[in-house]
Parts: sequence; structure tokens; C-alpha cells
Amino acid sequence: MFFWRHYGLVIPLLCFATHTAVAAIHSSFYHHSRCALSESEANQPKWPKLCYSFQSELTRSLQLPAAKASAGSQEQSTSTYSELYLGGYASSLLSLHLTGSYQTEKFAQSSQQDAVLRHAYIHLGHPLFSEVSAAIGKLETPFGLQLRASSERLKAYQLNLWPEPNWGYILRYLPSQELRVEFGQSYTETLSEPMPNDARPRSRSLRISRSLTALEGTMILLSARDQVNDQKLLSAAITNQSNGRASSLEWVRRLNPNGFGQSRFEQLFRFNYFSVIKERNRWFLEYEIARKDYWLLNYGIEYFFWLQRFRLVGELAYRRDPHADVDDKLIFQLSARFRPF
Amino acid sequence: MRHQFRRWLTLLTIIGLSLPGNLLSQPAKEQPIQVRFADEKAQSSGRSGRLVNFFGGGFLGNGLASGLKSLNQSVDSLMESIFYSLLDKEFLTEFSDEIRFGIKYERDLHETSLGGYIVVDSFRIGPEFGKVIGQLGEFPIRLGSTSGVDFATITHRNTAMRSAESEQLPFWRSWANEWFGVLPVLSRILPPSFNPLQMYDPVALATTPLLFPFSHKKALKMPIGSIRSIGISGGLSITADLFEPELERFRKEMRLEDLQLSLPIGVFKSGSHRINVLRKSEHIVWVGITDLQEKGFQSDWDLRNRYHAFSKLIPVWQGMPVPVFPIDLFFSRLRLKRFDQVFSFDLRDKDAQQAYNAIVTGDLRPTLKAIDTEIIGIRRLFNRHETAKALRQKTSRSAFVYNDSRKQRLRRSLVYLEDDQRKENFIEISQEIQDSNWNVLVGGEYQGFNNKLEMRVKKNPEDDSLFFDPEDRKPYHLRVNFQINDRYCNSREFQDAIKTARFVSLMPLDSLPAIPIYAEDELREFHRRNLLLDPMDSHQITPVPPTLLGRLNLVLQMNFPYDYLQALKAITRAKLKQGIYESFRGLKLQNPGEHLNLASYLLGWLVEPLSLANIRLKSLKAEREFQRLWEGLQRYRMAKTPETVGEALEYVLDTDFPGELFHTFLNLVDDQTVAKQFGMQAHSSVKTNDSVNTKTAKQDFAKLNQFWIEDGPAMPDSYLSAYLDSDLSSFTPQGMDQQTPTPTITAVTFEHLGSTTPEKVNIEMTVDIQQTHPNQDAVYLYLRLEQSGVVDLGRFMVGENSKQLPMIRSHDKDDHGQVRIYLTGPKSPLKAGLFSDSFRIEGRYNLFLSTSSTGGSWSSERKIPIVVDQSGKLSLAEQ
Repeated sequence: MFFWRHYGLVIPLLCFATHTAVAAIHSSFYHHSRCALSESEANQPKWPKLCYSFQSELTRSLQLPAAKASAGSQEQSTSTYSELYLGGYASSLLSLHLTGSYQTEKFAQSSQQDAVLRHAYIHLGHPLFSEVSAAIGKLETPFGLQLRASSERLKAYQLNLWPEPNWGYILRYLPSQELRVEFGQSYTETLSEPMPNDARPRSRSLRISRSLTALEGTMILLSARDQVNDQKLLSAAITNQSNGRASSLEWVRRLNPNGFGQSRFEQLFRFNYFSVIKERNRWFLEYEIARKDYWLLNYGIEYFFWLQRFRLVGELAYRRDPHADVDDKLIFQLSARFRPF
Repeated sequence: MRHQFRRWLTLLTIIGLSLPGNLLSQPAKEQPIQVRFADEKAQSSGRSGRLVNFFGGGFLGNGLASGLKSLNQSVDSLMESIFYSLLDKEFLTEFSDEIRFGIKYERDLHETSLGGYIVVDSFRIGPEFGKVIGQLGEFPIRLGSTSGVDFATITHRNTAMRSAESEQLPFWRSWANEWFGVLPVLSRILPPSFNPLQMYDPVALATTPLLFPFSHKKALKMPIGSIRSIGISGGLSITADLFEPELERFRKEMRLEDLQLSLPIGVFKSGSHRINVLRKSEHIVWVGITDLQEKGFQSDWDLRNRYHAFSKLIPVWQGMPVPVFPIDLFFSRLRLKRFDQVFSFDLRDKDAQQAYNAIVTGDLRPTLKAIDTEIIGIRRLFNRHETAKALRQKTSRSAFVYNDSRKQRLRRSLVYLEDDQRKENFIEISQEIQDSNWNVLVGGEYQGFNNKLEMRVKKNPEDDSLFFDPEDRKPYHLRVNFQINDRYCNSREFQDAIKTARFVSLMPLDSLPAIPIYAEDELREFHRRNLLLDPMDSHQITPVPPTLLGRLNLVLQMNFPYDYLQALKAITRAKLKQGIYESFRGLKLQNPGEHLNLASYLLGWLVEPLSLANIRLKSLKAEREFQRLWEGLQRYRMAKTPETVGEALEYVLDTDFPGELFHTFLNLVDDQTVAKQFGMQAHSSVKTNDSVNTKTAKQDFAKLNQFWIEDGPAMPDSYLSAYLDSDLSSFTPQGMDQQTPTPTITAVTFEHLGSTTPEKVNIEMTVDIQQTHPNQDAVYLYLRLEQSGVVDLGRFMVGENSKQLPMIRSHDKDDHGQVRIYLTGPKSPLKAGLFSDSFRIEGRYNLFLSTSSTGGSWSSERKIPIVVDQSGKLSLAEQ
């Protein structure tokens, strides 16, 4: 924590300086900001390529009880989130990808930190342009859309609906430009952990996505997942783009072990809407409701400045808690993100 | 002192720098900017008659009679569906278990491709009765009865009319029309597909039952070109729900508690009497009287589970109905009798006034007496008797956000027509097949055939038998009309539409441009952006879609003359089989063989039930279609009398695949006697952020607007339209507009005057107008400004206004004049502050203009794309 507090800003600045220096020497080798080819190379890219990005976000959040408040129950917190991504491409068909993140959160009385190696995998083939492709390493098996407008900090209720990064593989098959089929299995959380005796996967999942020609691009995603503890999940999502606006609707349901027709089940429904204000600046609306648990309505504005490397996000959210004894909350939140390259 | 001097110097420098440049220098004289418009009349000369064909003759008349729902209203987005459903309310009060009393208000909008909308406000009131009257075994038998009175008001509206109205109406009324300010806000923030007319003027909707003109004075207060209608209807039905016990058991076993399952089968008899009044011009009013009686058998199978999504989002809204169980079927076979009479009243005439006052209350006697005594103010336009056998079917499947339905009608009628000069009999076989796809994102897309076989016949007065007039060289012909309406047509759908039209008509259509499915530069950009992507994000990336082009209306018409239909008789069995297999399966049969292909025939039968769920497997149906068509042609060969010829051709036309049928005919008998017409209306939706290739594709598409091509001999008139009064046959909603001439905008000039600061820019607009008659003193001008720039929240309407302005007459031409108006600045008469304010914000806008001499009927809108720069100056935007 001490380190982060005192050197947190130095690291990105150093990275930025290195990047500028390296880019000046050999501009066609390195790419930044998750990662587009330059115009000049668009037709004939030169291999190998290294692609990397770093971002760091500081969030200040204030939660106020919205009704029947007991005085003094307001809560303030500060959190940081940093992520480093590295992608090494031997060619468009062979690449290595690493993502690591570091997260801290500080409340009035307590604090917590978390460092995670999120992804480390080798990718064979191209996920969009090859008919068949595969990835092996530490990764998340394909499930759902997992698109959120708001920042990570608002995810107050962890329903464990999404796959965690584990060691495993993914296979992808694209029979046409419109249809993608993905299948993945994962086995262990760390490499040192022994493989299960019966080699039974910890999680396996299937995702099928089909794009439709409605408006300027619409995609439907259907996926299913089976976990080691007999948990089964289903998900359906639709995304749409029109006129610079994008919206997505996602539904995830965890099946009750006793069957589909039971009345008790967990379900999440999420709606996102993004609209461009000017250039990259945009506003968004998010509505998320977990059945019998909570709902959240969030409105935010994203503003980019200084070469689009800084981003400010202001959010105003209303969250209803599941339990009668917990007050509804009105949340104000301001995040500053710095992405040096 | 030196310090003070330095301070003053600094201050002066700052002030000097902060002064705008144009204060220090003399403003340069601005060059006026002019936009000229092509002569609309010259452009569409010779086509206006054909344009009427785009929408079929008088669809509203048919629509009202058959209770047809909105033709092409579509719900374009989730938000739209919320607001549309706010207005259609049904109030049902239950008096007891058996009797309910219904009041229903409804508003339907029918889009016209030539601008504006037809608004149909309707109100219905009447009791509904339903009771189980007995058991047949274990099946309950139910008696149902409905009766009621309904009123409808039908008007043609556009935004210009709406704006002009708000100038003329008292404040409270115009405020109420706009839902106390809610409607303008909605039309600003909702997508372009949101139509404010859907909600505009709730007072008119509420007063619909009070508006019917029961006296000639009230009739003369109706707006010209509007229709009001009153109808009395009643019906009786006896139904048995044959599967109720089984379905109930199935539902319980499957734990499908919410599922509605009902398969009633029954007989019905219904009748209606309707009076329609159309104010045609200043003094002329048409009154149409329709009597309709129907009886038959029908079955309405409805297997669905209807949830209401988002039902808790807004307290007053019950949610969006979401059908999740997929099958909906309707089937009816009936006989109908219909009697139509249309009279014209000149209400300057006293006798005509009295006769009018009687006829609208149902008393025809004074009118008929007046016609007998040849009173000038009253004319009978025609009488029409029709007796028909009809088949109506609807199959549809729905899945959550998607619906795919097919409506089919087949009707064989005997029609007797009479007017002042003639009396004639016809046999008419009409076939309608309408396919529609609806999805929650882009709304509806329609494609359909509307075919009619018209047969002129004579009646033997002795025994009422029918025969062909031996002197009539062309006693019958078949008219085919194929249409596609797609509000959001993309390049792939466009290619498919052209391909279908080519297939059906065998017209080469090679002058049409080949619009590529994907914009090449967008594909390149997609590749550039995504070649180095993190594979874990790939599932969120949508591939480049086919280019979205805009709105497409396509029409194909063909006329198969008598001689051609005769030539069909000569087709041999082998040739027919070859033709059918080629059009259904794309197969060239090596040996068509004379024997029955039993396996294919049985396969065709096996997949038949799928058509109930609207799935038609063309390639498996080839053998069955061949058998059916061969049988039909055999019957046609044998037929001698008009009735048998009609029956045979009805059998031929009764197909699920009309496109393949006509393709086969044209392939087998091609004697160049078939008149063919193909036309398109294309409106491209240009956006500021379109890529270069997308823009090119859209421009190519837009060039096809008013595209028209003909092949073969001239298209003959329909027997009926040639027979009827020409005004009546050309009566369409669009026709209402065409009958009232409007001034036309020929050019618009903008000039910047005294532009000193952005706040004081005076933009004077001069509009050149071609008048409808010389020496016009004033015209109404309607202006609407929509933003189309970076703040692109769909259609963002900045402001609208209409003004009556004095006309400055031209010295050169009598029928030309000008009006001038300040768009901005202190001299501007436009009250809406937004108009001036918006010109201080730089950006791209679209300015829409329209003119009118009376404020009632408006010219088509002219659109001028403009750019306003930082200094508030206006220039034309590149298209």
C-alpha cells in the first residue's frame, strides 16, 4: 500500500516515457492501446508485433442512505484499479497474451488489496478471421456477454455468475462471418495445483453468437455453462448498434439443481445503453436487476481529455438492497482513469 | 507612473485581443447562397397515375370494411412500443359473468410514401355476450354475440399541418394537443421512427363519436379531404372448444400454469351497415353506404404464453406483451354478400341538403327519389352488388422479439355494377398473400402479392345463367401486383428484393446498379482495428453488417391478357413438370417422365403441417404443386361457362407460392403479350459518420428513387376502374393531396445581413414560389429545423414554425413570387427561441420547408442540409 501510494503515479509516467522513446525508434514493432494496426500497415502488417496497454483508475465513492436513514450511515471509500496487458504476435495466427490486475479498496475502518494474474495464454489462429482457432493457458471459458457500462466498483453484490480465470482451453469455430461457436474447459486455478484425478473439468461452457443484419449491427449470444459443483447456468444476450449508439440486453440464470421448473432460482438481467456526446465522450445508462436480491440504476458521463489519455467518469446510481433492514442507497462516484498509451 | 502606464497598456492589449476580429474590420459583403429545386411536376409527369398503383386503389376503403389493422405501422424500438401502446386503450366493464360492455378507442397511422400519414381515429361501443349453452359429450358449446356502433375519423396529416393548426387554435387546445408539452419533448429525444402524430391531439380522438356529420352544416365544417364514418355491426357465433379437456390436462402435467391454450372451432354470422362521408371539395360531399353480411366457419387457434416484460418499470404501463409460445393460426371459410352505393351531393342545392340529412341517418328514400327526378345536386356514382366465397387464413410464429406472419385471402365474387349509363356483371377472383416480418429493432417489413382476375360476363335474364359475350375479344385478364415495403432496407435485402422481382417477372432489370453487400472500406477498417485484438474481447465485437441503405418501396405489376391465359391450356404435362421443378428446386429434369413421383408427393404432404407454423419448404413441395397445377389446368381446359372458368382459375391461383407460379408460366409461355411494370421508391438515410463506400452505396440507392421501367405492351386499365367514375377509381389517400393544388418551392436563397457578432447574425431567407393561381397575396410557409450533426440522438428536432407571409410578385412571370423571412436575429418573426439559439451552436442541420395557400393542404417538403459555423454563419452541407 505504501508503495502504491508513493510510487503509483511514477510507474505509469515511466511507462509512458519508455513507450514514447521506443515508439520513436521502431514504430512498426510496438503497438499500444489494445491495439490497432496503423493505416500504413493495414494491408501488409510486418511481424512480429508487441502490443501492450496499461491503465490505472482511481475512484472516489460516496454512498448515502436514500430513505428512512439512520444518521451517520453514509459511507465513503477510495479504490484503485490498475491493469497491464501484453500481447505478443509472432504472426496473426500465433500469439501470446498476458493480463494482470491490481486492485485496492479503502474504507474508513478497513482496506483490502488484490493482485491477480487474469490471463496468460497462447492463441493459435485468429479469433475473428480464422475459421478455426484455439487458446490454451489461464483464461475464462466463454460464457455470456459480460458487458457493463459502469465501473467495477459498483458491483457490490457478487453473484458468481461469471467464469473465473482458470487453466484450460478454448476452441472456436466460425462456419461463416455471421456465426461463431466457442467451447471451453478449465481445470485448475493455479498451475501448481494437481489435475483432478478423473480429469473432470472445473468448468465447461459453450457460447454461440449469431450476428443479424438489423440496423447497423446486431448480435445474439446464447451460452451455457456447467461447473464442477453441479451448477448449471444459461445466458442470452443481444447487442445492437445504431447511429453511434449501442445497447445491450443480457440475461443470466443459474439453474436450480432440482430442475428448471422450480420457483427458486438466481437470475440477473442487465441493460446497458451508450450514446456518443462528441468524439469519444459518451453518456451511459445501466439497469441491473438480480431477482429477489437487488436492483441498480446508474447514469454516467465519460469525458476524455489531454490526448484522450485521461478519462473522467461521473456516475450517479440508485441501488435497492435485498434486505429490509438495509437502506436503499444513492451513490455518487467519480473515477479518474489514466491510460498512458 | 511607469507601473500605471504598463498596467494600462496590458489592459488595453487584453481588451484588443479579446475583441472579435469582425468588430475591428469592416464586415465583408456576404455572397448569397442559393438552392434550386428541380421542377417536381416535370419530374413526375406521366407517372402520377402510376404512383397511385404503389398503394393499390383506395386501401382505406377496403381497410375499413374488413377491419384491417394498420398496413405498415411498425414499432421501431422498445421505447416506441411504450408510447404507442399508451394511446390504444380498451375499457371493458364486466356487468356479469356473461355480459361485458366494451368501449374502445384506437388510433392507427398509415404511412404514405409520398409524405404525411393517414390518421384513423376510431371509437367503438357495444355489448359482448358469451355463455356456455350446453355440452356436446365433454366439449362445452359456447354462444357468443357482439354488437356495437363504431365511429371513425380519417384524416391526412403531416407535421406542417400540425404546426399550422397550433397557430390557429386557441392556446388551451393546442396545448392539450401537444399533451401539455410532453409531445414536443418526446419528438426531440426519441428515435426518428417515433411519430408524434401517433399521440398528437388526444382531444380529437376522444371526440371521435361526436364528429360524425349528421347534418349538412356539420359536413361543410369537415376539413376537405377527410372522411368520417359510422357503422353498426353485430354478430353471432357458436363455438366448441374441442380440445379443452385434453389441453387442460396437458397444461397441468407440464406445469405450464400461465399458458393460454384454446382451439375453438365454430360457425358465425355477422353483418354490418356503414355510412362513410368524404368531403371532396368546397361544396361536394360523397356519401358511401355499405351493407355487408358474412357467414361461415372459422377457427382461431391461439397457443401462446404472453408475458408482459418491464411491467413494473412505469406504474401506468402494463408492460410490453411478449409472446413466447410460438403458434397463432386463424382459418375461416365464408360466404359474403356486400352492397355498396356511392352518391355525390352538391350541398349548395337545397334538395341535396335535405337528402343528405336523411341519408346519413339511414333513410335513402329522398336520395333515390331525387335521382329519379334528376335533381342536379345529387348524382349516383355507382351501385355494386357482390356475392362471394372467401377463404381467409393467417399463420404466424413469434419468438420473444420476433414475429413472422402470413395472411392469405382468396375470394371469388360475382359483382353487379350499375351507374347512370351502364349495367354490367363481373366475376372477380382476388388473391392476397401478405408476408410480414416484425422484430423489435427495426419494426416491420412487408412483402406481398395482390392478384386479381377480372372477367366480364353477361347474365341471361331468363334463368340468371352467366355467359361470355361472343363479341367480347378479351373477356378476362389476370392482373398481378407484387410489393415490398421495407423501412430499414440493407444492401442484402435490396439485392434479394431485386432478385425476387427478376425471378417473378423474368425482366432483366440490368440497368439497376449492383450495390455491394458490404462497404469495402469498412471491412478494411474492421480488419485493421481487430487484427491485433485481445481474443478475450472478441465475443463483444460485432462483424461489419451489410450496408443499411434506407427505405425501399418496390412494386411489380404484370397483366396476363386473355390470349396468354388461353395459351396456358397448351402446356403439356412434361413441360409443366419441368417448369415447376426448375422454379421450385432450380433443377433441370433429365427425364420429366409421365409417371407420378410418389416419394416427392408424399414428402410434400408430410411437411404440410409445418406451414401451420409458417414454415414452407419450397423444394419439397415441387411435386405437390405440380400435381395441383396440372389438375387446375385440366379443369381450365374443360371449362366453358364463366363459372367453371372462374372455378378453374381460382384453383390455379390457390397456391402458397405465387412467385414460383408466375415464374413457371412466363418460362413456359413467353409470347411478349404480358405487360410488365417495375418501379421503386428509395429514400436513403445519410449519416454524417458514413464511410466513403457507404456513402457511395447510399447515393447509388437514392438515385433509384422514382425508378420506373416497362416491358411488353402498355398496361391496360382494370375493367372496374375503366368502368367507374374516373375520380373514384383514382381516389387514394394521396389523391386527396393531388386534388388540391399547392404552391411549389422552386428555389431558396440565404443571405447574411449585418452580421456583426454571432448573436446578431441576421439570416434572411428568400423563398421562390410557383403559385397555384396568379395574384396570390400571401402564402403559408412551414419551417422545421432538425439537427443532424455530432449530437445525433436520432432525429433531434430543434424547432418548427409556420407563418402566413405576404407574397412579393414576380415581374416576369405571373405565377411566380417570393416570400422573405428572417430566420434569426432581432427582426425574425419566428417566435420559437430555439430557432435563433440553435444558430449560435455550430453544427449540421436539416432545414425542411413546405408551403400552402390555405394552411390546409401543403406542398411536399423540401430538405436543405446546412452547416452553421462558429461565427453563426450558414453554408450548405455537402450531401
